[in-house]
Amino acid sequence: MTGVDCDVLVVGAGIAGAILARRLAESGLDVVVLEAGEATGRTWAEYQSNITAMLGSPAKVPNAGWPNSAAAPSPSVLDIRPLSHDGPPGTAGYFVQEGPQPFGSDYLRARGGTTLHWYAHCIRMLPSDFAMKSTYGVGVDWPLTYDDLVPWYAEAEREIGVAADVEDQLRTGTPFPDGYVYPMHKIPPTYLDRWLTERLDGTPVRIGQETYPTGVVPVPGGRNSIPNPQYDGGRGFQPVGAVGRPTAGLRCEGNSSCIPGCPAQAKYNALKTLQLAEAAGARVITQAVASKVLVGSHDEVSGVEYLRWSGDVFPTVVPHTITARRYVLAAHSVENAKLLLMSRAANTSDQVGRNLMDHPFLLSWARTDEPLGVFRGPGSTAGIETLRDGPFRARHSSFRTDIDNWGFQILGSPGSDVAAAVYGDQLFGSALRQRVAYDVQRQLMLGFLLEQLPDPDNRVTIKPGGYTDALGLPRPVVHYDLDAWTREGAAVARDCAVQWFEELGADDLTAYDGPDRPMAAHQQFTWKDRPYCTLGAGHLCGTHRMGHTRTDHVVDPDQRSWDHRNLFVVGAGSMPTIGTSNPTLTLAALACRTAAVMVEELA
Amino acid sequence: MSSSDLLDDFVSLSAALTGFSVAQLQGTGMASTYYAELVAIVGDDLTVALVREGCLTLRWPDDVEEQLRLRVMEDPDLGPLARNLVMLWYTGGWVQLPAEWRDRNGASSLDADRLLSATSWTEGLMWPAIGAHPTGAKAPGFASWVGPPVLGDPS
Repeated sequence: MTGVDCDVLVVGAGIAGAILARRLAESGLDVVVLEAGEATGRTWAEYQSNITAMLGSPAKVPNAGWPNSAAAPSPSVLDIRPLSHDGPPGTAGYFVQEGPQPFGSDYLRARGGTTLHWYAHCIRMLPSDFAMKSTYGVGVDWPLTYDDLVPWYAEAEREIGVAADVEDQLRTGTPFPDGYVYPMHKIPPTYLDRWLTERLDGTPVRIGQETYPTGVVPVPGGRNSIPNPQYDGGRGFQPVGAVGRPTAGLRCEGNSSCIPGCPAQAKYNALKTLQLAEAAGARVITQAVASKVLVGSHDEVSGVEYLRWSGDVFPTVVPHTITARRYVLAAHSVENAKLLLMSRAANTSDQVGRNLMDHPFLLSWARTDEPLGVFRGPGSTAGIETLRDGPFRARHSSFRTDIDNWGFQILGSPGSDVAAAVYGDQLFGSALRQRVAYDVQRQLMLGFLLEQLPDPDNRVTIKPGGYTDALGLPRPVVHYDLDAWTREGAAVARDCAVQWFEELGADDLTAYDGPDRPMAAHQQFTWKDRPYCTLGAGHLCGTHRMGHTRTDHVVDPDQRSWDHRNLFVVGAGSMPTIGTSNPTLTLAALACRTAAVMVEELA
Repeated sequence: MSSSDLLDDFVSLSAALTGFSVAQLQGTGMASTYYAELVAIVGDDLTVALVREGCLTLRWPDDVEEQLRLRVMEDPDLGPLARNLVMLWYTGGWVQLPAEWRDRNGASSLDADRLLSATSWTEGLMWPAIGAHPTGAKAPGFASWVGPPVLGDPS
C-alpha cells in the first residue's frame, strides 16, 4: 500500500458495510469504515441505554430510542404527513416530500444501521423475481439469476444466523440445493400461527378468474433459535449472542419488540458483524459524514471527503479527506444516491436516485371470536406466502402477507383499547379488565407487502441551494407515487383479506377512510371508486440499480460503478426489482458476493 | 390523616378502579410515583378529594362499583381524574384532561399527553390484563408464545 491511507474505504456501518468490512479485513486488508451517525451498541450497557430510551418513548416507531442528531439526521415516520394536491412539499422531517404520495419509510443512520430495528425476515427472492420482464412483461430483468445468488444466500444466512426449515420454504416456490439446511430450526410457531394454519391453510382463494391455495408458511427469521445439527455437513451452528455479552440472546426470549429493538440481541444486528470486522483490524470512525466522492484522472475515484462532527444541536465540524485503493458506498439506498448526486459522480446512466421502490404496506384487520394469544413472540413468524408469484403479475402486483403476532399494535393497541374502554364506554374495575382482555386477544391483523415496479420518476434528488441539514449538506428530495399495477394489487390483496376473514368467521373491521384509518398510513388513494391507504415498509430499493450496460445502469453485476472502476456502490439500491421478499437478506447476499470479488482482486 | 395513610387509601382506590388487587398494584412499585404525579398535575386538594371520596365507597364492599360510579366517576371534577388515573395505571401514560375540566380547575403545564417513563411502560397493567408481557421487557422466554393465552383472573 503506497500513497493511500488504506486499502478499502467503506462508507456506512450497516449490514452491507459490515459484511464487506469483515471479509476484507479478515483477508488481511486495511479497512476504514466511515459511519455518519453515532456509535451505538459497542457494549452491552451502551446498547441497553438505547433500549431504555425506546421503552420510554411515547410512540414505539422504528427509530424510537435510537440516536438521532441534527448532524446525521434520519427520516422518521413521525414526520410523514399526507400531502395536499399541488400543495407545497412536505418538509417536516429529514426528507423533503414532493409527492404526489408521501414516501412512508424510514432508516437509521447509526453504527449498526437499520438492522438495529429491522424485523429480521430473511426470505429469499423467488427465481421469477429476477426475471420480471421476460416472464411477465413488466419491470426489468436482473443481470443475475436466482441460481447465481444461491451460494451467496447461503453465506448471508450464515452471517445473519437464519432460523427456518427448508421443507416449509419449498412451499413458497423457492428451490434449494439438495441437502441444504438453514443454520437453525424455525422459530416455534406462535399460537396464532397454529390457529390460522388449522383454519386457513389449503383453503382456496380467488384472484380474478383463478383460484389459488392459501399457504400459511413459517417465515425465515434472523433470530436465534435451536441450531440445526445437520447444518454445514453435520458441523452444526453456534448462535451468536449479544455484543459485549455473548451469553445473552442465544435464543429469542420473546420480548415482542423486534421493532424498535430486540433487548436481548437474539435478533441479528450488524453490530455483531462489525465486532468481527474490528477484531480483524477494521477501523470504524463514527460521526463521520461522507460529503464528496472525489473523481481524479482516468475516471477513478481519488478520495472521499468527510466531515467529522461533535456536539448535536450546533455541531462543530472538522473536514478530512481519505484515500484508498478501492472505495465502497454502503450508506443505504437513499444516502448512496444522495452522496453520488452531491459529488456529480457515477451517473452517466442518469439512473442515480431513480427507480426508488418500497413495499407499500396495506393493512386488513378483523376481530375473531376466540382469543389468539397476541402480543407474545416475534412480530411475525408466519405469512401467507403462496401468492408471491403467478400469471396475475402481468396485470398487477403480487404480495406476501404478514400474519401479525401483535394484534392491532400498529393502530395503537393495547393502549388505544384501554382508552376506548375507559373514556368511551366509561368502564372501570373488573369490567374494564375483562373488556381489555376480550378486545385485544381477538385482534387479527394481516399486512400485505405489495410489490412495486421500477419507475424512473420515483426518485431521490437533491436541490442545489435548497433544503440542507445542520452540516449544510443537502436533504434528500423524494418524488414518489404508486402506479396502477400496484394499486390494482392493493385491491386484490384487500379482496383476499375479505375472503380469508369470511372463511374464519371473523368480523372485518378494516377502514381506510374516516376516523378508524391507521394513524401512520399517509399514502391515501382511490382505486376503482374505493379508498385505500398504505404505509411504508422500510424496504428502500433501486436507487443505483445493477445491470449489464453502463447506459442504463449505475453498477455492474458485481456492484462496481460503471463509471469509476475502483468504486463499488452496494446495498438494496443495487436491486433492479424488489419482488415481495423483505430485501435485507438479498442485499446481504449481494454484499457477500461483492466482498469475494474485491478480495480476489486485492488480497 | 398521615401521608402514608393517604397513599394506602390511594392504592385501595386504585385497586377498585383498575380491577387489580392492592398487592398487585404495590408490586409494580409505581404507587408513590403516580400519587406524586397526580399531586403535581392537579394539586393536593383535588388529589385528596379524589382519594377520600373514592375510599368512602370502599365501605360498601358489596356495592363498590355502583358507589364509585355515583360518587366519583359521574362527578364532573373527580370523574375525569379517576379515568386518567386508570389510564396511568394501565398504560403508564397521562392523557390531557378534558377542556371543560381545565377551564374550571385550571390547567397545569404537566397536564399533557405523555408517557411517564420506561418503567411506567413496563409496569402498565394492560399487559397482565391481556395475558401478555410489556413489549420490550420481562421476556417470558423461548417458545413461550406457543400455547394459548392465559388471561389473569380479575378476582
